[in-house]
Amino acid sequence: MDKNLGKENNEKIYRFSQEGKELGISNNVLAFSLLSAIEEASNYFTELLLSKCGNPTLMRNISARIYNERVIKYELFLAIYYAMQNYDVETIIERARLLSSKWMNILNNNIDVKSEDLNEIGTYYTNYDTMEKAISELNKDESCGILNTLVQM
Amino acid sequence: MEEHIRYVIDGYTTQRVEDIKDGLRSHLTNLDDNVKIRKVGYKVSLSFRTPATANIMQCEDIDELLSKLGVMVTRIIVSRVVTYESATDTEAVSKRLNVNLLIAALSDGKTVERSEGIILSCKKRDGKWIRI
Repeated sequence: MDKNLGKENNEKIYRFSQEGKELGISNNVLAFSLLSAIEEASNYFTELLLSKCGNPTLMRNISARIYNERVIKYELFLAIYYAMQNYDVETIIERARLLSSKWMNILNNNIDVKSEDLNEIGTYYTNYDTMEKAISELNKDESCGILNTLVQM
Repeated sequence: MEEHIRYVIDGYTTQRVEDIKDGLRSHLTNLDDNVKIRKVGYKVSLSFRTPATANIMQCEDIDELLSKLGVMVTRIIVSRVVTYESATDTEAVSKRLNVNLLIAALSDGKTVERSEGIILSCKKRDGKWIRI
């Protein structure tokens, strides 16, 4: 994925979700678009880690196993977010699971999305830049370490 | 700190998760309690580990064993892993990502399993196992 293009698209999606509220676009549609932006963000973080790690075997296996698994992408995004807040391990696991299954439920079951749920997704998304910066500061070993764990999820 | 060999296997099956788990245990006597099987529709992912000293099973052997249990295997990843008790070093909230904490969370729990790297990985193409 082209770094800038991916980011630009994501910013557009985020703006759409903010302006869409004024235009009266339904919460469901806005939630769908925000969740796809989070999914893309997670893809991009994985790409960043892969380019730092530079291990082709890991790259092939991650591509095959993770890129189709939406729930893992959400969990990764959320785990990074909570790890940056220095929550304890159990809390990170619990919150990442809970929220990712809530998001999967929004996508799969066409439930009515409440405004607070929409705002919640938006709030997570707005941390994109801080998370990107933190990941770009990791070294090769740290990046490989995260990917080695991720490939087994 | 303990060392293990972790097998992660993707495939398809019509069998029940419990039956696969039981079958796996009866064929491989050196497994510990850490056997995870996730099935969505017919798609299945299995993950288990053996002691670090056990022989590393080759893709063909794993395939043969799992086909007996009714699993059609498509991909195998074998890694060397170490486990240790999670000691989450609580540093003040920083903008830096706490990698140990993230790995602990992704690896699922109080006992952290950190992978030391993939030692074997293969997928089936045209009926043959190829290393990837």
